[in-house]
Amino acid sequence: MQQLTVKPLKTPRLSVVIWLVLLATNLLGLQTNAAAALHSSHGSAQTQNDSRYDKHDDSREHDDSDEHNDEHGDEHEHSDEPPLKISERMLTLNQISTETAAATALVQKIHLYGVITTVPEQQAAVKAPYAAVLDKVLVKQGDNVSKGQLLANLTNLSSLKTYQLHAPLAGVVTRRYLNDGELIRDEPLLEIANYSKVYAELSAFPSDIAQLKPDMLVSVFSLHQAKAAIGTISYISAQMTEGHIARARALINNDDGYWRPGMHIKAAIHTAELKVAVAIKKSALQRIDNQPAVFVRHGDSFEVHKLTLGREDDDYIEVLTGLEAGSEYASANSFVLKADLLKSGASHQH
Amino acid sequence: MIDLILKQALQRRYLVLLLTLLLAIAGLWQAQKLPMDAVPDITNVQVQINTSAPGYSPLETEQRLTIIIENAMAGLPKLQYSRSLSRYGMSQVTVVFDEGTDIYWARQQVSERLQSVRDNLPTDSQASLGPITSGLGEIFMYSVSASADARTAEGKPYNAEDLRTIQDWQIKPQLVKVKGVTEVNAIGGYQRQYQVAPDPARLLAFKLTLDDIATALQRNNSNVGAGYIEQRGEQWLVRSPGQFTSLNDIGELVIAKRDDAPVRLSDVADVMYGKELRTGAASLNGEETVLGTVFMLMGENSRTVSRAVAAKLNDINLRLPEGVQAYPVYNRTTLVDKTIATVQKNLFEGAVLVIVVLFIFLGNIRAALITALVIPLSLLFAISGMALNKVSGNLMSLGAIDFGLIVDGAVIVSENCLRRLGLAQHRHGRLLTLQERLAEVYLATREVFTPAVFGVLIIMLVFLPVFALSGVEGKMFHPMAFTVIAALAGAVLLAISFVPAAIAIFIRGKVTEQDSGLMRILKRGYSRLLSSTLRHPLPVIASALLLVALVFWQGSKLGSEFMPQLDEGDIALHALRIPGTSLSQSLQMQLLLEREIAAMPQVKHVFSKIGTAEIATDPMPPNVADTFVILKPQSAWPDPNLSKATLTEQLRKIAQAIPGNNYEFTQPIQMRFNELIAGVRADVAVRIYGDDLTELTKAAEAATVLLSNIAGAKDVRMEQASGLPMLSIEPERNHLALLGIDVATVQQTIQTAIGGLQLGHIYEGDKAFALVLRLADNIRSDPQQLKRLPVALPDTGTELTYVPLGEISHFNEINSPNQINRESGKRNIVVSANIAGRDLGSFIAQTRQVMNTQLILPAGYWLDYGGSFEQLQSASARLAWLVPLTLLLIFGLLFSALGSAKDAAIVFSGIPLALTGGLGALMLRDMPLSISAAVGFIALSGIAVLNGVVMLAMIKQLREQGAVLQDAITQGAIMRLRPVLMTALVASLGFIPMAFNTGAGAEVQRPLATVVIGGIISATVLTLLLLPLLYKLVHRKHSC
Repeated sequence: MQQLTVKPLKTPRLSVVIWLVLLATNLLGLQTNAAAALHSSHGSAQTQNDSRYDKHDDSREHDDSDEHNDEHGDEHEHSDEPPLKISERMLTLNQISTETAAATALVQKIHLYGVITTVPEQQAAVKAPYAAVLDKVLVKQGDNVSKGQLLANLTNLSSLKTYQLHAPLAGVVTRRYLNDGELIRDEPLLEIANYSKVYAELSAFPSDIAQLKPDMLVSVFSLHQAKAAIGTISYISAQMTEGHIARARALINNDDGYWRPGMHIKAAIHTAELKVAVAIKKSALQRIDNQPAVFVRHGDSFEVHKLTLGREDDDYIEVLTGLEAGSEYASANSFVLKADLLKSGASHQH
Repeated sequence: MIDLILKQALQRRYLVLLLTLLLAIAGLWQAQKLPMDAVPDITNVQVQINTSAPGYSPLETEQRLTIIIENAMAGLPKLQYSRSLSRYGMSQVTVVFDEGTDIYWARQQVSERLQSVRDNLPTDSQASLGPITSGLGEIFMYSVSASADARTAEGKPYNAEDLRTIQDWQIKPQLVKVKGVTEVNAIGGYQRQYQVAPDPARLLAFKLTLDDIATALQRNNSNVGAGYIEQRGEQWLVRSPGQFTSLNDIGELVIAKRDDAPVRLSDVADVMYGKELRTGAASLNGEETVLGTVFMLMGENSRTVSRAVAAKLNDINLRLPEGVQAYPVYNRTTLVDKTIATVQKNLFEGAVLVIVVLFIFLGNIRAALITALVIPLSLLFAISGMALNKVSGNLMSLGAIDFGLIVDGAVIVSENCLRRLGLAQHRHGRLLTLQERLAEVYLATREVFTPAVFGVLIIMLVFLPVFALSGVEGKMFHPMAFTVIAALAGAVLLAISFVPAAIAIFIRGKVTEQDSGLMRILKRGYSRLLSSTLRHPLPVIASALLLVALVFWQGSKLGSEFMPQLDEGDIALHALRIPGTSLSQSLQMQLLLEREIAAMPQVKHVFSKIGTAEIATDPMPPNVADTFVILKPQSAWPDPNLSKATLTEQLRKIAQAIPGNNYEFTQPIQMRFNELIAGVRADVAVRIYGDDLTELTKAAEAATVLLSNIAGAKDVRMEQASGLPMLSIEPERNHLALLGIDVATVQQTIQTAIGGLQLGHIYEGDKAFALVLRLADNIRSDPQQLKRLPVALPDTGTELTYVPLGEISHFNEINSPNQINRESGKRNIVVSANIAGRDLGSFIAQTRQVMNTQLILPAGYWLDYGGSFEQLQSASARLAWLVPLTLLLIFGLLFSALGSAKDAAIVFSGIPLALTGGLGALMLRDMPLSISAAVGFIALSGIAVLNGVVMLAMIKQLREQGAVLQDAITQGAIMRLRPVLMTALVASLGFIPMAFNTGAGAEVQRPLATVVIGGIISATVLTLLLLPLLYKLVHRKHSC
C-alpha cells in the first residue's frame, strides 16, 4: 500500500526553490503578458488595429490643417491635404466624370402655381341699349364671332323701331341668356370672350414677390407637362390678398384654345439671367469641413478646392473664389473622392 | 483501495470489457448530440430589444423609445448592464445578464418589463426581442437570384423587389420550420409596397389634400364579416369584401366629386409598386441580390442544422418559379466538417503511430492494439462528458487533445505488464496459468500504478488555473480545459481497468522477455552515456542550468498571443465609408469592390450585407458593409501553396486601390463575435456621461489626448460621434398662427410627403404588402421642390387654400448625431485604450489621477471607468494564488507518490528543463507564446513528471530490495529506458504531422506540437541523464 499520508516537509533545497520560482514566474508571466496582449490580438489582427489607430492620427492631423485653413479664410483656398491619386481605370469604374469650369450664363427661376384666367379687356357682356323684343338672335353659345359681326335684330319696346346689336370684339360666344321673341331689359344677351390671349394668373407668396418684376419671361406648363407656353409678366398686384399672396399675371397666346380659363398651371419665372465668370455644376459640390468644395483634377490626381459660392440656377452655381475658369473638376460622382479623402476617419461602430 | 480496484478489474475482467464497450457505445451516441462548432462560443448572456419606428431621427428615437425601454430594464435581477444605441428609425437596447443566467429566463424577464411599457411607446413603433441565438448562430446564408432570361408572371424580368417577395413569402416560411432554426433574416431587395404618389399640383387643382387621399384610402380598403343568416335550413355566412386587390383597383378609387365628375385617385396620383425606404442592401459578386441569413437556436448542433437547412433549400429550389434560385453562399458545415476531419486525422494517425511504436518496442501486436484503443476510448469518454455538461466541441477543445499524453499511462502499464509477464514466463519456463497471469498483471499494474495515476493527476491539476479565467477568455478556454481533463480522466480510468483486464485476457501466448535488437543497442549506448554522466556531475548540472537560464532569458523576449486566431477558411472584411454615405452610394461602391475581389482566381464568390437587415441583429449604418469572401478549396488555386496571409495581403492591395473605402479584415465568425460583444473589449474604457452631445464630444476629445499621453497607452480610440447630414425643416410658429394651422399639420405633410404614411395592407393571397402614401422620388428627394410643396389650409373663406412649405418653414442643412449611445441609462461617449508594457494597476491609478485633475467637465457630467481591466485584474489576482497553489498541490502529490520531499523535488526540478526544449523549439520556429503553446508546456510537464516518477519509483524499489545506490540508479534507469523512450517517441513522432499542419485547426495545433516535440527531446534527456544524476547527488550521503 502506497503511503498517502503527507509527511511534514523538510527544508526544501535551494534548487527546488529556484525551480519553483522559475516555473511560477513563467506561468504567471505567460498569463499576464498574454492578458495584456489579448485585446489587440483578438478581433482584427494586432497590426490592423495599429494601422487603424495610425489612421486616426492622420485624421486628427487633417483636422488641424483644416482649422489652419479656416483661420486664413479665403487666402488659403487650396487645402493642405495631399492630393488624391486615382487611376484612370478607377475613375471609369467609379463613373467619375469631369468638366471644365467656365463662364456661364445662369438662368435663375422661381416656380409658382397658378390658374388660367381670361383677359378682362377681352370679354364683353352684350346688352341691349333699350328695352326691346328680340326678333332674331343670330349666334349661339360656342360660335366664333368677329368684331362688328351682327349678333341680333331687336325691336325697341317704346319706339318699336328695329335696331341691331354688333359684336364689340372678336371672340367666342361663351353664354347666351335669351332666345328669339323674349324681352330684353337690363340683363345681358350674350357674353363674348376672346381667348386668343389668356392670363396665367400666378399666386406669388411673399418670398417670391420681391424677385418678380414686370416683363420677366414666364414659362407656363400644364399639370401634365403636356404643353408649355411662354409669356411675360404684365402685372404684379400692388395689394396682397386676404390670404397673404399677391397675384401676378402673364399674358400668353392661346390661339388653339388649349389654355382654358380655370385650368391650373405651373409656371417658371425667369427672374434673372446672369453672366458669371466661373460656374460649376451643382452636382460637383461636396461639403468638406462644413465648407463647399470641389475636386480639381491635375493629371491623375485630384486636389480639394474650398470655394466661396455666389449665385446659382437650377443646375449651375457661381464660384467667387477658390477656382479659376478652365480648371477641370469632378462633376459627377465626386462623392467617391470625398469618401476617399476622409476615409481614414471611417470606422466601424456599434 | 487501489488494490481493490485492480483486483476487481482483473477478477471481473470480462465485465470491465463489457463496461468499456458500453462506454464506447454511449460515447458514440453522445457524439451525435454533441454541439460541434469550429470555435468556442464567446457570446455573453444578452437579450437585444430592437424597436423600429419608421422615419424617426436618432434624437426622436432616443427620446421616445430608447429611454423608456432602458428605464424599464433598469433593476432587472441578475442584470449586468445595459447599453443602447439610437439611430435613424431604430433603437436597440442590449441587456447583458450575469454569466450563467438562463437565456430563456432572461428573455422572460425582459419581455415582462417590455410588456409593461409597451403602452408608453409610440403606436407606430414595434418592439421585439432579437433571436435566441449566439455569435455562432449565423450558420447559413443564401442568395436569391434569377437567371437573366427568367420572366415573372407578368412577363417582366425579375427585379430585386420580386426576389425579395419570393424570399419573404416562399423561402423564409419553409426554412424557419427546419428544426434548430430560430430565425431567417433577410437583407437586400425591396419589400413590395403599393405606393400612391400624388402630384401636389394636381391635388391643388382638384382642391384636395394629402389628408383627403389618406382618408379615402383608409376607408375603402377593408373586408368585413357580418355574421350569418339562416335560409331554407342552411346557415349562410355574410361577408362584404372591400379590399383593394390590384394597383388598378386603387387607381379607380373615387376620392371626390367635382361638378358632376368623379375624381379618381389616378387623376391626382400615380399608383405603382413602390420601394420601401430600406435600411440595408445586399450584393453578390457585384450584382445586387437578396440575402437570407439562417440563425441557429442557441445550443443546437450547427452541423446538423446547417445540413438540414441546405437540404431544405434544395427542396425549396425545386418549387421556386422557373429561373429563380436560392444559392447557398455560406455554409457552416464546411468549416465544421474540416474541424471534424482534423480531429479524425489526428486520432487515426495517433493510433497508427502508437501501434507501430509499441509494436517495435514491445514486439507484441496485441498489447500495441490494446494500448492504442485507449485513444479513441478516452476521446469517447471525454465526448460523453462534454455532451452531458453541454460543453461544445470545437477546434480549440478537440484540437488541443494531446494523444501522446492520453496514452502515456496506458503505455507504462502495458509495458510493465509485458515486461513482467515475459520475466515470469522466463522464470517458470512455460506459458503461465490464468491465475499466474492475473497475478503478474496485477503486480505489474500495481508497480506503475502510482506513477501512471499521479502523472495524469498532476497534468489535470496544471489545467486548473485555466478555470480562473473569466469573461471572454474563460469562455474560450474552459471547454478546452474541460475536454482535456475529461479525456485524461478517461485515459487514467482505462489504464487501470481496461488495459490490465484486456492484457490479462488477450496476452496468453509467449511473451518474450528478451529485448528486441533495437532495444539492446539503445540500452548499451544509454548505459555508457549514463555512467559517464554520473562520473561528471558538475559540468552536466552547470551546463543544464546554463541552458535553462539562457533559454528562459531568450524566451522572455518571445511575443505573446493570448487568443489564437482560428482560421475559418474564409475572409470577412468590413468595408467602411465616411458616415453619412447614402445607402445607394454605398451599394455602388460595394458593387465595384465586389467585382474587383471576385476577379481573384482564389475567390469562389463574394457577397455583402450593407446597412441593417430586416431584423436588426447587427445594426450597421448604411456606410458600413460586411463583406464575405468565400475562397475556393486551396487545391483549386492557381498556386495551391499560397499562404492565406499572402492571399489576404493581395486582397488588401486590390481593395485599397478602390477609392473611398476603408477596411477592417477579419473572419465571418470572428466578425459576428465582435459585433455581439462590442464595447467590452478594450482594457480601459473611460466613459463620459452627460446630456449634451457636443459637450460630450469635446470632453471625449480632451480625454483622448490625455489618455494617449499616459505611458503604456496603446490603441487609444474615441467612439465616433461625428455627424450625419440632416435636413431640418423647422416650422415658423408665428407664420403658422397667422394662417390658422398648427405645427402638427405641417409636420404631417412633411412626414407623408417624404417618409410616407402607411395606410393599411394589400393582400395577395396570404402575402400582405403595405399600402403607402408618399410623394414620387423625384419630388421628395429635392429640397427645392419640397419647398414648393403645398400645405393645405383650413377653409377660412379666403381664396387661399394652400401655402408652400418653404413659406412657412426654414430649411436648414445641419449636422446631427448619426447615433446616440447610452449605457446604463445615460448618454455617454467612450474613450478606450489598451495597455502595453505596463501593469494594469498603476496605469489605472495614473489615468484616474490625470482625468480627475486635468479633464474639465461641465457640471452634471461625470466619468466612469470600465473595460475588461477589472476582469483582468481579478483574473490576475486569482492566478496569483492559484498558480502557486497548483504548484504546491503538484509537489504534494509527488510527495505522496514518492514518500519523500527530496525525491519529489528531484522530479519537480525536471519540469523547467522539459520546458526549455519547448521554448527553444518555439524560438526556432519564431512562434509566439500562446495558450496552445501553454497546453504544450503543460503536457510536457506531465510527461517529464510521469517519466521522472516512473524512474524514481523503480530506483527506489531496487534500493528497497537492497541494491546499492549506484547499481540501483544504473539498473533502474536502464530498466525504465523502454517506457521512457516509448512515451517520448509516441508523443514526438505523433506530433510531426500536426506541427506542419496547414489545414483547419493548424493555429491551435502547430504551437502545441512544436512545443511538445522540442520539449520531449529535452525532457527525455533530462529523465534519462539528469534525473539519475540528481538522485545520486541527493542521496549520496545516505548510501555510501
